[in-house]
Amino acid sequence: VTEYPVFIPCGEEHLAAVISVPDGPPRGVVVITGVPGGPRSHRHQVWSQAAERLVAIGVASVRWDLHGLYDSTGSAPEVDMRTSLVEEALCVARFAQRATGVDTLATAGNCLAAQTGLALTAVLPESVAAVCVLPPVLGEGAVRRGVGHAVRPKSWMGWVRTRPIVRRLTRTAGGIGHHVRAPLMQPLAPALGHAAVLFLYDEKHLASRSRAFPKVRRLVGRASADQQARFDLRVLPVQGLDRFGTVASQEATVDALVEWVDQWLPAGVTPSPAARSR
Amino acid sequence: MREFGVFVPFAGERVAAVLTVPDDGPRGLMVFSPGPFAPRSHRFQVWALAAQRLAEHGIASIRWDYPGLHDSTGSITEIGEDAPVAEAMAVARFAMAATGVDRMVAAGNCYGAHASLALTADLPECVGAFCILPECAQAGPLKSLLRRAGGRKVGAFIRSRPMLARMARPIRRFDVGTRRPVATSLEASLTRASVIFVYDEAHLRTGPTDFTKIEQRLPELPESSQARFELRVLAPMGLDKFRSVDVQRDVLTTLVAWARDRLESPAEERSPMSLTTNRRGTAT
Repeated sequence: VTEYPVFIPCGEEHLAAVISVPDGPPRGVVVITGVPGGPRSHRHQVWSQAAERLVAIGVASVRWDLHGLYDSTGSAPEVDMRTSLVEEALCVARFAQRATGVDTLATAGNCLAAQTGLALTAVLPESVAAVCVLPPVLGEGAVRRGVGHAVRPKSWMGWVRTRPIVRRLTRTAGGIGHHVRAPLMQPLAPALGHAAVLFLYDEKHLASRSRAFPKVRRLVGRASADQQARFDLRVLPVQGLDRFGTVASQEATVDALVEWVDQWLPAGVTPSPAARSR
Repeated sequence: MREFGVFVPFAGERVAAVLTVPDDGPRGLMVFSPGPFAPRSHRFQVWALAAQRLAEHGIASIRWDYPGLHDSTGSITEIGEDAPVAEAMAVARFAMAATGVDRMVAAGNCYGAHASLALTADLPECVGAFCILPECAQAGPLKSLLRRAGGRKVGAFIRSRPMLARMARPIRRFDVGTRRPVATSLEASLTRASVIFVYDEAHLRTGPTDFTKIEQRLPELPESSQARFELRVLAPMGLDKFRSVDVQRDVLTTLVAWARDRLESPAEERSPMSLTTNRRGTAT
């Protein structure tokens, strides 16, 4: 594996990234996005290991930091989950395509990076696969949102948490009016139009996620049979996926990512127009 | 200012680093070593911002990840007691060759402070170490004996019984030893380089960062060595995780001023073992 640390120009900033390439011509390139809680290598080098494993199947990758975080330049006083950073991801994807000489892409990331990867896949026809680790599916329920607006949220939540009966009641009421978050819902259908999408979860918080999964399946159910065949939601038999806290969760994630990319990326090389002209 | 992402060869592995150079020729170099739980840019980009600020003052810098962590290659299952001095040395030599300077200082926090101190002790070109919350203390003979006898279970047993825990408290206070690698590196560094220990009030006298044992050893050193040491207490708390913008700003300001001072002036002109604080601290 050959790795190149680079700074990718994007607007007035420079995004820090590492491009990993196999010895021969790559089959495609996976754009791996970092998150505020983990740099581009992510906790316990999970994305670095993924890059190494991808290289072993002939796939290049670029892992990068959001602007204002880690080695990237700029400043980010806060990161808003309501918007996916597609412009930055596009800068990285285009740079990686030019650098590796291939058009075909896939995306990967967790949490905010999962929705960013999905949004990138939706706007890039060259993207054939997206691996979304723990994408935050549900927005605040209508009841909780209404109450939260009416009273100061923190004091209200504190009061509720200290009273078990009220907590149990609000848990039920808080589930009413839950909806799939727009940053996830909007790109999912366009992404499935041309790419395969994998949602990965672990066994933690399965009870609360039991509300989310049917909503996602209902959303995917509206798509054509072809598109439905390109979607998978997997619950990995591990715990601690949110922080890659266990070796099992790290290995299971990398295995699933490599398998999904290997399955959906074409076996042959599809050189980019720039590479063809060279 | 320009930044270069690089991989520094080290013992069959590649150490990931970012080299920052000012637009004009640099007049010195700073090597940033992070704590093991933060990447080379550190929390809230503190080292990345420091690199930028140093470049504005004509000082180059390199920040790096330990082998087996973050973007560096290799694998690591646990962090040992010994500071990674060979790795730090490889990074420092690479950066000096790349920037063409032969005068440098080292900076780091926690484990990175130990690496910086060890680097300063071993590398003649290094004229100073900026150590944030170095762990100067370690378990004393009694605690070590208990650990050897029953692992961590004995400690857990005592902690879980309030009466026993209360009785053990005064013993714990006295059963503290000096962390030998830190003391050895400090003494070796002070023979020719400046060393500053930077603390907050919350960590100065408690836990593994307790400065007391080192403080007791300092008067035994030659006066010239004592004059090269400085203790600075920056804030009431929050230095361990660069928790607030205030703390980050204080660290950056202190670090840049200290680096400029060290890389500009070859001679030391300071009263023996100066202790300073910029807030209402205990040290004066």
